[in-house]
Amino acid sequence: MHRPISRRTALRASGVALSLPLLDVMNPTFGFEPKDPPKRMVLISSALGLLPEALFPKTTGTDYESTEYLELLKEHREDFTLYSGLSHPDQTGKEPHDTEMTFLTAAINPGLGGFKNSISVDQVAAMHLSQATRFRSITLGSNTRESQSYDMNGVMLPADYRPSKIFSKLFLAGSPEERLSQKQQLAEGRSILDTLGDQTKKLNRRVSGADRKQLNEYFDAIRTAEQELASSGQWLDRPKPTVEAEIPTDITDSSELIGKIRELMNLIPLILQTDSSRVVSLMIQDHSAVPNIDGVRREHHPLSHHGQDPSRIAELKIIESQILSTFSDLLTKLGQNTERGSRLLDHTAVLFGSNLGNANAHDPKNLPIILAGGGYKHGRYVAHDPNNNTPLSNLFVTLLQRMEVEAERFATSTGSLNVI
Amino acid sequence: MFSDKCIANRSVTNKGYVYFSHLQTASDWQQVAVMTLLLSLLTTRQVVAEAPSALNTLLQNSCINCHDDNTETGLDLTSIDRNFQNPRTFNSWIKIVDRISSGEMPPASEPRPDSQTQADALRFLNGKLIEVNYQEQQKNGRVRSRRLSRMEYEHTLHDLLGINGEIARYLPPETKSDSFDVVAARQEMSSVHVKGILKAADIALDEAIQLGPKPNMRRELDYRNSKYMQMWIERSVRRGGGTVFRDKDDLIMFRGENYNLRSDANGLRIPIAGKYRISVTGSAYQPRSSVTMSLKRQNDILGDSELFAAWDVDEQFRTVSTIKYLRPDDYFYVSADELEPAPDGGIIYNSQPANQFKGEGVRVRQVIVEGPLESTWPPQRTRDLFPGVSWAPSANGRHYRPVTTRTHYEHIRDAVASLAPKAFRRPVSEQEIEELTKLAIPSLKAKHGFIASARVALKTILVSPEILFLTNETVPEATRLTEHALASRLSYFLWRSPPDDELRQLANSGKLTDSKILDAQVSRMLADKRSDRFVNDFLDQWLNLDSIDDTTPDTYLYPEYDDVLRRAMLAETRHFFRHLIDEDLAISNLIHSDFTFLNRKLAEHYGIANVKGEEMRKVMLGEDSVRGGLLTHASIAKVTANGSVTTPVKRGSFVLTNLLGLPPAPPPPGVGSIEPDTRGATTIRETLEKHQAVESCSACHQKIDPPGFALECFDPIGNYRERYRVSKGVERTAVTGLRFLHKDYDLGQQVDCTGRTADGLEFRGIRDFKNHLMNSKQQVARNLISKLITYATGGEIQFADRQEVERILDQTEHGESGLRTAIHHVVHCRMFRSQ
Repeated sequence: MHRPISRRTALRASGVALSLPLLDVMNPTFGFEPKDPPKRMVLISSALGLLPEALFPKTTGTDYESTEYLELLKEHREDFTLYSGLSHPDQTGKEPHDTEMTFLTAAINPGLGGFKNSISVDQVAAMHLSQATRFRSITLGSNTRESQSYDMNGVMLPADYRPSKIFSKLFLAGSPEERLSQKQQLAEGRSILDTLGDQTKKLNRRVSGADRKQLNEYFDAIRTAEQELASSGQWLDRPKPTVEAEIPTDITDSSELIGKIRELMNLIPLILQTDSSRVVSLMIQDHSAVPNIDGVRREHHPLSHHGQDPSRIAELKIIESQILSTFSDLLTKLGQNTERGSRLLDHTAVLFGSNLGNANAHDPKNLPIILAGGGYKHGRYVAHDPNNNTPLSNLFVTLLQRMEVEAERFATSTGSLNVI
Repeated sequence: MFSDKCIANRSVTNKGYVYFSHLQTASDWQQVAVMTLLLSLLTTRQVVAEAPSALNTLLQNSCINCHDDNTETGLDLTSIDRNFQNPRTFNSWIKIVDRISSGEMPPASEPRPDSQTQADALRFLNGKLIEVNYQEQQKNGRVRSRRLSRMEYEHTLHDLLGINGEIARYLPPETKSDSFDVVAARQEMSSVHVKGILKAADIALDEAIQLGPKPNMRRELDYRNSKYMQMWIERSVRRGGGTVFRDKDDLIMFRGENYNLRSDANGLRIPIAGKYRISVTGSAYQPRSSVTMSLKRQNDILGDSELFAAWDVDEQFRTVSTIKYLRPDDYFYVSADELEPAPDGGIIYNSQPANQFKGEGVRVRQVIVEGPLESTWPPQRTRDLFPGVSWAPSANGRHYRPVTTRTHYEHIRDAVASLAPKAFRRPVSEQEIEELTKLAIPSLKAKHGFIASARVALKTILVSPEILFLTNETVPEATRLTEHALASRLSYFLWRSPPDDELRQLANSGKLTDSKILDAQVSRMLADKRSDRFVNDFLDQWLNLDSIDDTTPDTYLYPEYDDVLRRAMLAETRHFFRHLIDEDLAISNLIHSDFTFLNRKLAEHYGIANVKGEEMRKVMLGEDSVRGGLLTHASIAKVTANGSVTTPVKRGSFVLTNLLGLPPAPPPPGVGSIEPDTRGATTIRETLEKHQAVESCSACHQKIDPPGFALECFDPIGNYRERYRVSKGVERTAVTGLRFLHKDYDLGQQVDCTGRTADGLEFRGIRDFKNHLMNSKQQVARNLISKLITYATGGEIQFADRQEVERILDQTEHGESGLRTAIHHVVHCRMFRSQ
């Protein structure tokens, strides 16, 4: 079997820093045929929406008129497409913000009678890529462990929200003692899980037939956990990539909304460039604090319920503009980084959107959706029917297919979105 | 009085019931109550012999016109068969029975069916449905095995290991749903759980096993000589200082900042996780109104904080103390709440130097920390984990080492034999003990040491499916729970943790199923402090109190809302419910009571005079009080508000769903929300009048909105209001970090809390409305009993369970007898006692 040379080994020998393009020799498929750089996916959602009237232009197509928000992205105009008229069907939930759970999953009626979530689109891609990278996916949250990524059992994957911790997980090797103790822990964890598997089988024999479903689910969960530990064990022996970047310091003050988002966004190019993971999700959350931004005096969530009050709308626009600026900077960075001669952005589909179309009314229709990069032809505003929305899952299918997942459908999709 | 007769004797009931998931009005319930279903004459095991001719007649005459294969409704009667064994068919017929029973169908526009035909048809259907459901329950059990919820797992580790502190955070949150997190059908399981459980068990064992040098601590925080403190005293306001100054030996603070007085920066490192007594001596400085001195904990690594305690202070010095569980990364700080600016409106930030400021502050004289409070060292919890092992300080004095008298393997075996039966909630065989102990062998061989090796076996116990799943085991050939399964169900119901020694011993000796002993155990458990977990967790989920922080009111519109008030709000509801249990008071008190629980803070909030101090206590309410009953609690006003605004829809829906157990159907797909518009003169109420104008809305909203209108008299934080608060639109100072208590509101439009219930009863305000709601006290009791059974058994109420609920309702006099009595009845009922 072909064993790819670790990037770090290569770097040690060559003495170059990692900001150089990745070398083909590190591609695991080297020796067969040269392949394109791997496809990647970044999914960002801002849970409190974007003011529709500041975002959507009145004209569609490639010569759409810019708007207040799109002005902030104008240097990337040829690198993104704006969509309107997309949403997930049947999103009436128990609580008005419950659509936060379903933005990437499209499960219907969140929180209502017997609700169980389903797998999120990023995790479908992650499962497909499996062990290609050290981390199948990276799940980020701006303030808490809440995320928008859900595994195949509909269980939320806890978000990393402390940049220093993510950085050390990705790039810091740790002392030999730490690595040894990690190894021991992994081995112990695996042996315990092994025992639990046996115990579950025994318990299964004691319970009635109807009860076995629960225990079988548990048994599967144990097996998956064991595989995950085994996979991290394998990666433990491979050196982590090194990057020329400072270890970020964590901002603990939740009023630093923009600072926190920016720190996480800064990690994304590093994650992709080092091929630590190819799937990243980031949830921009409500921080329940007045954002520390000039001119903003109220909390983000209350402002999103502006009630058409002009002073509130003005403050809300300040916050949303700043969030969009962090997104713009991310696109700039992904555009500057090159990989085998082409821009990182061209192999990375970056979706920026929200689970709310109109946060003032908690309306989950007509979602703001911006798709950047990924090798698609951009520079357009595509408006779908505002009264009869197209399933957002159709776009998800398109994204999955670009990731070479053989997906005909995802959740509530009715086809794929015709994207060039 | 609490016998288990209910299993043997199905008493005659002639009450109809209302369980299903769409709207009912007060008049419907009365109608239902009058309707005699006679189903009690059927024992569930009897086969219903009547020919279904009455049903055919009823359907032909009264239903088929609308519900045929051309129907535009969701129901086509021609496509529904009579194979009740089929779950789909079964569920369809339940809906049909419920709508006919309630009188909702046939609709008022259609001719009335012959009453005898309808009664016969219903009797036939009820009999069939009960029979099928009951047989299914007999065959497969009523509920499935379930896993512990994340809170239950935390309590379980606490009780097994003698530790404390939050552990649930390592497990994924339970998915939000409209039922309890213990309902098996709602529960999820994935590798995220498995990895979280492994992590949680590790953390728990770390805290349980303490072998460091004996910390001997009685420390005074030395603010006098603290350079850190001096820094904030000297720093300018711009740089976060200037809000505290030194007055001889005392510190005077004008802001409850989390950095000034923090314990860690003032020289206190928490040596180990454990209980500590924190004593504070302080007073109010320049008080003109109530001042609160509080104690808060923060953990920057975990990113969480909590209000430990809040004390009312005046000019006299007061020494107060509290015992709290602290972890090494925690710090705490004395803080101040309810501080008013200077009489001239001046605030500390522009009234420098601080010692010239005339506003309210808190004076802190002394902070003493004692702990960890351990009677022995290594702590008892560590000793308990390793029976038969004694401990001696190591030669270098850096830690304690085990003094073993037998082989390590044998000592580990003892530890396993001691923990496993408690954790698995049943006797554990020699073979199981041996198998678990063997897990330590590779580690022993690798010379990882006694503790590390023992931990492998102990950790396996703590993450085992045997601890994680409540499997509801039954006696052979029946659905009755075994003694041990009953003990588990009982202890997880009332304590959220495994049976203690007494319960396990009773189960071991086969005595727990004795009804007198069972009653005695329920009484003992309710008297135990651990039952607070039941009160808190049940209320959190039933009344959504766990979502109190989901939205935050605007601090300028509602400056009085702070952590101290929030805590008092929750305490009111919890004390109130606890009091109904302790004193066995009528369930109808949930609708209206002539008392409530208040402390000074909450009483001031409610405008009730003469309640002093921070302790919650029972307060009798005046005749003309708007308070009394759950719906008047500020906690409920808060969880049913959206941040700074209230919507009658959310509150009305809460009354129907949570209090009455009759949730309205969700809005049809495609119906948008009403977009709030707070600019003009329109009130929410005027906006909602659109509901009445649109036919597709009015059917439901004529029932949802009125309770919400009555509750409009409470603002988002539970103030009684006659006028809405509106922002004055003054320029708000919002320089970084310089936010402060500042009011920005005028009183605007009048609040209109009058209305008319769907069945035509007029109300002029909350008291009228509560009077009307008293007509539904039986339904409130039915709902509460159903919720208790669901919560206790992990399974929703099924069709065949309804009779049993009605029986409990009879026995508890339809809400007139006490809550404690109801809990005893729940524990004796068939659903609780069987799988």
